[in-house]
Amino acid sequence: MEPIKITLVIQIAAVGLLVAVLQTVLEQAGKGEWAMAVTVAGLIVVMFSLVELITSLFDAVRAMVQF
Amino acid sequence: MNIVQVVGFTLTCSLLLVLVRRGSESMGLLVSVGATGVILTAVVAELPPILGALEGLSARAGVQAIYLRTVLRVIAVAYIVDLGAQLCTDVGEGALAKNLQLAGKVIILTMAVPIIVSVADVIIQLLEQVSGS
Repeated sequence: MEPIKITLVIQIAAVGLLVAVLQTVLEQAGKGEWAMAVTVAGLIVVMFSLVELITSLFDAVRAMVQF
Repeated sequence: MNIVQVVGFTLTCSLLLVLVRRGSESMGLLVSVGATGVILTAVVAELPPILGALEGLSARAGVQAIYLRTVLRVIAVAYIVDLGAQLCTDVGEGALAKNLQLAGKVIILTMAVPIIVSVADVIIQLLEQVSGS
């Protein structure tokens, strides 16, 4: 009975909200191109932690059904 | 894996998703992928005893291990493909989801070909016996 890792999802959501707020602020300040850059940076950061999770999940599945 | 825990986690994730989606759609997709991954990791950790029982049963019934393994593989691929397609549909990419489903069907078919061939072999042998006698 391993506990569910809720911290990861909260982390991702926090990054998402932060990016959304930054985007709004930067667009209000008239820096649309920076807003885009911030969004892409946030996406990449989150993706790195997700890749780890998905890799471990697929490894577990693969070990289970013996691909 | 505690069912109350899972339900609470899923509801919390839904709440977070509603919040994040309003900010940016792409982050919403990432949050839902993360939530899916976490839930599935917890689910997969519970599966080995069930699979062990299934393997024991099939061994007692005299089914060859490779058939059960193929079926399990097909189920795994079906689940993963369906999950990916659902995530694509959620962000409005229905066409990509359909492509993914097609790919999944082809992959499942390639895995099932040995079984189909062996079934056809059995049928052909039966037919030859019937026509021979």
